[in-house]
Amino acid sequence: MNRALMPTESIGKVDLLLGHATMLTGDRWDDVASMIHEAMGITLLMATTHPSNRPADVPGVARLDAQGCVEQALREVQSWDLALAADLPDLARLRVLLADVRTALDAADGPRG
Amino acid sequence: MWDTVRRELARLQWDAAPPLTLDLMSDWTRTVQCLMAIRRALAPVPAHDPVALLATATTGAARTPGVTPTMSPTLHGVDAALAGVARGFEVGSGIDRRREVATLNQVAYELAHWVRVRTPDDRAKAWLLAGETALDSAVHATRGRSAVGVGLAAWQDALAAVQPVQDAAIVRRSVALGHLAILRNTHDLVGEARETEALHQPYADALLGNIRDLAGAHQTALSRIDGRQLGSSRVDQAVMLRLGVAVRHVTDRPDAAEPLHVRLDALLRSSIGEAVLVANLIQEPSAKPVADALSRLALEYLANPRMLRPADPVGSPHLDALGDRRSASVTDPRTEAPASPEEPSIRLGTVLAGDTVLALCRARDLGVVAASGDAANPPGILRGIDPSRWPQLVGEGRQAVTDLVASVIPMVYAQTRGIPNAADLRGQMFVELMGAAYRFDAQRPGSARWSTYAWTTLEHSRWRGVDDAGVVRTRSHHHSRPRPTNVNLEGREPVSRESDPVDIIEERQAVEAITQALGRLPASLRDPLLEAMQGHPARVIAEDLGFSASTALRRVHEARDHVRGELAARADDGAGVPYETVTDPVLERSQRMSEQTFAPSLGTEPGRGPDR
Repeated sequence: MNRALMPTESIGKVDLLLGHATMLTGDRWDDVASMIHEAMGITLLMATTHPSNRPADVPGVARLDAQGCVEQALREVQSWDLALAADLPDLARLRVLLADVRTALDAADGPRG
Repeated sequence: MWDTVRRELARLQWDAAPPLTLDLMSDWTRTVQCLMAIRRALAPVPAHDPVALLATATTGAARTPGVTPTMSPTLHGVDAALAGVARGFEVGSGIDRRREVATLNQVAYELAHWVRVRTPDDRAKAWLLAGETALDSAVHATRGRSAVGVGLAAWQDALAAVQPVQDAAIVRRSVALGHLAILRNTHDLVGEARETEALHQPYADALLGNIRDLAGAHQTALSRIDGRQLGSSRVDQAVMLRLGVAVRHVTDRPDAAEPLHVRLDALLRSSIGEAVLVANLIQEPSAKPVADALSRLALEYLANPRMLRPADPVGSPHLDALGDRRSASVTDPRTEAPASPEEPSIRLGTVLAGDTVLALCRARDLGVVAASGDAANPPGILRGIDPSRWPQLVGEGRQAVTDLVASVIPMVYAQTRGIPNAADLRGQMFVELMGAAYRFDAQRPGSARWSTYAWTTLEHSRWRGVDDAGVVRTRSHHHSRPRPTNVNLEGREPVSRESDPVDIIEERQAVEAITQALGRLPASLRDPLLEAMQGHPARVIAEDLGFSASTALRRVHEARDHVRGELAARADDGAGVPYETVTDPVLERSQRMSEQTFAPSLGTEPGRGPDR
């Protein structure tokens, strides 16, 4: 049985997005910021363990707010093969964290148009 | 194999109008059965398997009396996908079962979490949390949870590793992100300590203010780093990996078994994740002064760890152990003060008798050995002691070291009085003292007394000095202070256990004695002497106190004679050795300085100021 390919470019994108989200929430001291920081820590380790050959680029990342960053990161993570779980021991935790953060930010901001 | 499951999990998250169920717990019970089917298809299921534990927890949640059904998105799609996976494993071959079990655990963990956060009843939630925790433990079994101290050690190690490549944007970004996480952990802990009055409010407020300011500086630094350029940096992957591991450590969830005061203590002792070094690394100008302020606050804590009180010390095993010790030794001076682990049980500067020092060293040694001893093959020093008492011995050993340090802490202030960057040097000296307390051998024939050994260690530390970032600096005649002339090391290491050099200063407990002698001087003599001891030249003393330089010199000499006489009288009373063999570095330094600075100035300024 073939092993799933490591999505290094996608990991780089998630790292970029969550780094930006961490920066944006650096002056927040609530649970949401705490979860974003934990997700960032997971992704940073993934990115350093599985570096990409190409620079990660997310068009318009500088204009995204924290919610946008988290949503885009969640979509990326959910595109990864679940069989990677054996190689990425924090994969499930990352998925859970991002889903929870998205829910919390949605609840705080109300439904988006 | 898992693709359909992945799609269903995504659908759960994103579907704006999902099909609903009226009873989430019924749905979840079926889903758990599907998870168990996969688990059974992979390998026999032991009782401690996390998916089996999840099934048990789900049974508990479903049987919770009085729980009302919860409407939520249905799990039917997930069930169907999981059933497909189970069928695939039943008929498939060449399956890497270990990897598939790992994947299953992660899927089960994610689903259990999804259900738990949507379950309103707290009792059912508690059951589901038990299952989720079992899965979480299984997922992370190979990595293990780390205590805050371990995480901070990894962090410090990583900061050292990235020094050569600190100009790379990706390094500065990672350091700033990791430190932001440390700051927010500290912010949470300080806030909690403030609420529970475990920390004094003004001190906690000062910490919180500086933490917020430093986080703001990190945000500024991060906003200036162009994310698109990160991938183009050529940085050694091993270095980045160390940094990544360290950031993961410091962003990990806290160990619930570690009490607040232990976590906060570790953070403060690390000067809050080496804030000054981080500020230097990320090269954001606004970060440096705030990091310095944070570091100073942390040093205040080091000087007085009692300012942080354990939130709930009642009934802790450490305190029970201390209670035993108190009852066992009623004459021990340590029994005079209430104690808790890692806080001194004596007043700072308490003079310890020789037998007390011996007892403390014995407790320290027992603790050190007990911490690493093998109960099946106990080391000699622990033979005859029930291994169940070893943890208690470890606590007592730590307490003994803390008390040894506490007994000599005033020396730190004596050594750093009037020195630039005294706070930095004090921090280094506390660390040196802690090491000395572990090394000191009270039973070695001809060894120095503990106070002497500590004093010599501090002398060494002051001589080496530290720079603003807390790094030991290179010895240099350009920026070092004059070496005290009373210690003739003759090639020995200052921390050596040989007794010769330290015999000279041993009998003094000098700072206390000289302070007392100074206190008995009239102000007209004391003030000039104090200024001289701070290194002020005659001209400055004369201007400050309103008389001529020659008068200043005369009064300094007169004051010194008084102090000398007082110390000699004290020695004659048997409180110490004769003054001729006892010199104090502070006094000695003042003598040297006055000789160096007064003599040439006499000729030039004899007529300045009113001669009284």
